[in-house]
Amino acid sequence: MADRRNIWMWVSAALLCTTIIVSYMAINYQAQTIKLTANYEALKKDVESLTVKINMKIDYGGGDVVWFNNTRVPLDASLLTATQVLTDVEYKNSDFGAFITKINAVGGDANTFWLWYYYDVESHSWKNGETGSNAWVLHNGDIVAWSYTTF
Amino acid sequence: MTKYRVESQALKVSLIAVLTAACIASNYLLIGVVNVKFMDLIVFVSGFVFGPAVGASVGIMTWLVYGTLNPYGFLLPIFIATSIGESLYGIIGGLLGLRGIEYFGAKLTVSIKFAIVGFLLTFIYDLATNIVSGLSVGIPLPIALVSGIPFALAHEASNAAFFFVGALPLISAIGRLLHRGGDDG
Repeated sequence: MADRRNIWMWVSAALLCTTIIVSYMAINYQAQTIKLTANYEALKKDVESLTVKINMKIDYGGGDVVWFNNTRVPLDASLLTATQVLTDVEYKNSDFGAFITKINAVGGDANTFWLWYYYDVESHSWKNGETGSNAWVLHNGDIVAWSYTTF
Repeated sequence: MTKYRVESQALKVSLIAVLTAACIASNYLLIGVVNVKFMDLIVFVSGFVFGPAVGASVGIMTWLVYGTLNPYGFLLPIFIATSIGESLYGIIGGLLGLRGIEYFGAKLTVSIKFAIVGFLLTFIYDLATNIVSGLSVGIPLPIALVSGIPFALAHEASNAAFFFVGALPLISAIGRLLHRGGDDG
């Protein structure tokens, strides 16, 4: 009888050890999660203060359209910079500003050009870009588009 | 039999000195490995073989040297807590040793039981020293306890492993050594 009690005492002690280990791990993981979440939130705040969210549409023609929705680009970025962040861009400078010749290797066809537009939220319509893409500064929530257009 | 009644004061002092030296030497050897030390095992075995008084003395003497000449710094409250905590290994070892090794069963069972004892003693030691560290440095207690968890886990797991692997062979080795010493003398 005493032997049986003795065995159960040691089994209980062993279970106590495993309980301590598991509790330690759970508390440690919880503490790590809280720490990492706080770091993530702080980093997100920093990124939010240094970037703006935009929506960019790229129409390659022939029904091939790609959208970059709610995409973060650097604060004070021009349309050209934002396009460079999101795609592989080739352009040349002219008197009217930067003139994009290729986006993701699409471009260079005769009488076909990359034109840009912005979405006017007041009139709910697309408007032609009024400046060179390097002169158009993007703001939070802006919706812009590139369209490969043939004349 | 594994319990040795040390009558001679000179022998007792010598034993304490030798075992303390073994603890200190191994501590400095493992100085780079935080919270992984053979000291706790040696103190426990000292108590188990020679009784609670010798065990506690080895623990306190070790910390008198290692706690004072420690590259991680010296802080009196922590020093006192670790000294008392360390002596606990010797005292509990001594109390368990009163029953003799045979009481704990077969070889594997003994090793498992020693691992459990090592783990639980280390848990108590870590809990006490973390509380004292937190209070003496001024860190809120929950933070002190939570931030000490990885170190405590390393300490407890390593001690469980050391006690499992090392306690029985060390007790047997000291026993054989004392028997041989007795025969020669």
